[in-house]
Amino acid sequence: MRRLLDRRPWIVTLLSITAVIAAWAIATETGAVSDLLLPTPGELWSGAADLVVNGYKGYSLGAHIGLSLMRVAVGFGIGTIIGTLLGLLMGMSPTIDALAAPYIEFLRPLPQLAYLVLLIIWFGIGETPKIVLLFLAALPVSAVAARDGVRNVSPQRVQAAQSLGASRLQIFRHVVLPSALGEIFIGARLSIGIVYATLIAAEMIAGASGIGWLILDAGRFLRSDYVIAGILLIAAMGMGLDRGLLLAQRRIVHWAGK
Amino acid sequence: MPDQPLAETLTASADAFVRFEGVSVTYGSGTAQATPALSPTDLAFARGDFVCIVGPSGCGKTTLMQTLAGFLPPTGGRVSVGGVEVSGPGPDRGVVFQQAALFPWKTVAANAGFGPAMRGLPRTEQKERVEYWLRSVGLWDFRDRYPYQLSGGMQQRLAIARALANEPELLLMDEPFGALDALTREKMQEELHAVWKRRGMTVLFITHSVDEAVYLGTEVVVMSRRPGRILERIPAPFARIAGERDIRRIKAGADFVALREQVLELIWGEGG
Repeated sequence: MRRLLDRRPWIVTLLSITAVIAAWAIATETGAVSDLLLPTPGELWSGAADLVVNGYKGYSLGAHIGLSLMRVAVGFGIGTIIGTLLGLLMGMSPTIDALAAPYIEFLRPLPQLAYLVLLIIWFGIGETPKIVLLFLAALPVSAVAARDGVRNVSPQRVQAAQSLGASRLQIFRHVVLPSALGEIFIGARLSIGIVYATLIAAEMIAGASGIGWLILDAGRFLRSDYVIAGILLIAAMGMGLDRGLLLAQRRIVHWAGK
Repeated sequence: MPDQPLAETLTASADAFVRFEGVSVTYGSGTAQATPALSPTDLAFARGDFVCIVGPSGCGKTTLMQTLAGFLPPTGGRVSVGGVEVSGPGPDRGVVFQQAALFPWKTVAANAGFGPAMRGLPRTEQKERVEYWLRSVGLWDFRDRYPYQLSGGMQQRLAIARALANEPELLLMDEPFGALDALTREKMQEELHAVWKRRGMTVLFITHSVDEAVYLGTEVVVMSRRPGRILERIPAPFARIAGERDIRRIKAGADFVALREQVLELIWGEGG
């Protein structure tokens, strides 16, 4: 086992997955667990296939996925861009930091769903409250990351640039910004996790579309096959978002950790 | 004090290029924790000199250099270069740190060309300078790599090339070879000498290695423990003959050993 683990860890992973699927198959096929609670592997497969072919309640599966991803992209995108710009300014100017810090520090530890109610009162239950919610989820995380990135710039690199004749603006563009990029990316990965979890919850509370709403609605009809297929899809999408950012991080901040 | 007259003549002379006049530095001055780092110091040297400052760690030699670089305003006195008072960092004074402080997000060529690019020199001139200096330090073949793909010695050579590509009149080096292994270090000492002879810039070189200071400098300035002051200034002849003779042969010679021991005794005498 020890040697196997050292040389081929993926075999052990495969064994682990196989064991769980086998236990699941035995528990459901023998009727030990009711298929109302847990579908058999075959039922799950046909339920998933049904979702793919027929969609769910007026939308194709692709449309549900697309709507969820669109909300993430717009909320996370705008939140991260504005949060990063704000954080860079906060890092450069103690005045701006003092002005903005109370709001950032208030928003950051606050669970997003706590203010979703207020956003629904203000904006109804359409796309707007969800996107504003995700925007507010992404904003403080990326602002703090960018601010800390600016503060952690090596003073010696700044001195080197100064003594090479760089202006303040050039130092920001060529030294401070690239130096903060590593922390900005770490913040973005933290933020997309929060945004994604918030999205699924928001779709469940106020929505009629999206992958989060799909599993809540299927649950009302005890369609555990749809629910589990939906959960697997949510997990895969989450992993995809994180991996995508990780890949971008490795490409863009290629010098980090070296 | 046989060397005191030399110091006084240079300080007073009109053709001194770099001049420290009563420069002192106290960290946290005006507070209860005020720590004097540098006693009022007078030091002047001429264009083309290679001045090495040695002293025990924490003796204020880096502090002295930082006032000349413009990173640290002195608490008292004034620092001037070519008659102009230093008021901040500038491209006329290139700086090389112990940690190379390169820009890891830029290629070797972009690091070397950073100064000329920031100062907006014509593109053809930027390219010429990058090629000239990268070839001088033997990194031309690595121009498209990134700093983290280079060894410690190569990174330090790049830091030197980056400072020199600006063609500064004054090169300030703060223990630039301190982090290198002994072999690489001696190679770098030889290379630095070759560049200095070719370009004739003025160098202020900080080190805690007496061996390095005696070999490299036209003059060795010995500093005392904190708060630092200048104990003695000793002219050294080896910088002028380096390149004609092998570095090992110079360092093994009786005259080199005698001068090295003289400097060491000054430092030890101070410590004991």
